[in-house]
Amino acid sequence: MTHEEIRENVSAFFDGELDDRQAAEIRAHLENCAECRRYLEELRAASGALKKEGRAKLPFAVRAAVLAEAASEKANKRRYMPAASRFLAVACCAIVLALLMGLLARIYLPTLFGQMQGLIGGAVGSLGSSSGGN
Amino acid sequence: MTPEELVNLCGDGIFNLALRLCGNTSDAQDIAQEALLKAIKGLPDFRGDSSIHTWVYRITVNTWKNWLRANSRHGGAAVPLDPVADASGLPPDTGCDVGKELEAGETKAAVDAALSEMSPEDRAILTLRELDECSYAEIAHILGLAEGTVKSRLFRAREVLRGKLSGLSKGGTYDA
Repeated sequence: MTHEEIRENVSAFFDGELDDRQAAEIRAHLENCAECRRYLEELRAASGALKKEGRAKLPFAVRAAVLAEAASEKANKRRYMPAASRFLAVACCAIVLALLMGLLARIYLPTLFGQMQGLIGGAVGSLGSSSGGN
Repeated sequence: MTPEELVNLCGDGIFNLALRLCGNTSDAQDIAQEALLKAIKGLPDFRGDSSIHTWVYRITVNTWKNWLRANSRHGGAAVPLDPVADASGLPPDTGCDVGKELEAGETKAAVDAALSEMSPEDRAILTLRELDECSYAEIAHILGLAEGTVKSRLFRAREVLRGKLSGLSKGGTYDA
């Protein structure tokens, strides 16, 4: 194993990413190698320095924009009706409207159909007699 | 999980990852916003095969890759890496001791210099490991790399960081 490969494994050892056998090998190496022990200490220090820098916080404006957009998408979803549901709603409205109109016609124009039937019958009759005369 | 809970839990991590990947605050805000909205939309489909962080970070990386493609199509130029303090808008908390402030400032400058020397993916690997404490397997899943690649690239990134910081320790001011 080259020196660089050992250091790569020391880095993985630092992260707890080696299996038991590899970790035991690195532990034994560290006991005998002052240079690698120093390297491990430097890794710890570098990790500490990076952690000290900390994480950036999500800007408030981004947070607010995301939550506003998510809320508006949710509202749009609630308003949205699939095509099949839209067709069913229109069909129901049309049936209700037709029944209502039929009911109104029956109440307010009870003799309309009889009168119309009489008118049509009369017209047909006069048409028949005039053609028979010829 | 509600959208607000998701933003509270993962918002900072997503923004940090976006910042490390694209290197500047303005684009990182756009990428973080898009990634968060995608995650919120996809929440009902999240099956819990991986941790919620791994899942949203993967969405963030995919959003960054799309951004990168769109940016290169429009001839977008590379931008310098923003330091973290600029992103948060807060000055570093260094106390009142002038000597300590100088040391902290130098350490911060060395960390920023090291990060700006790394590729976007190496920066992401280093911060996912050090700040989010992701395992190599999680980092590999997030970035779509092999675990062995994560191990060697993390080692390489640490070498760059260690090099910059050891320069400080030789000057006698580095004390992490």
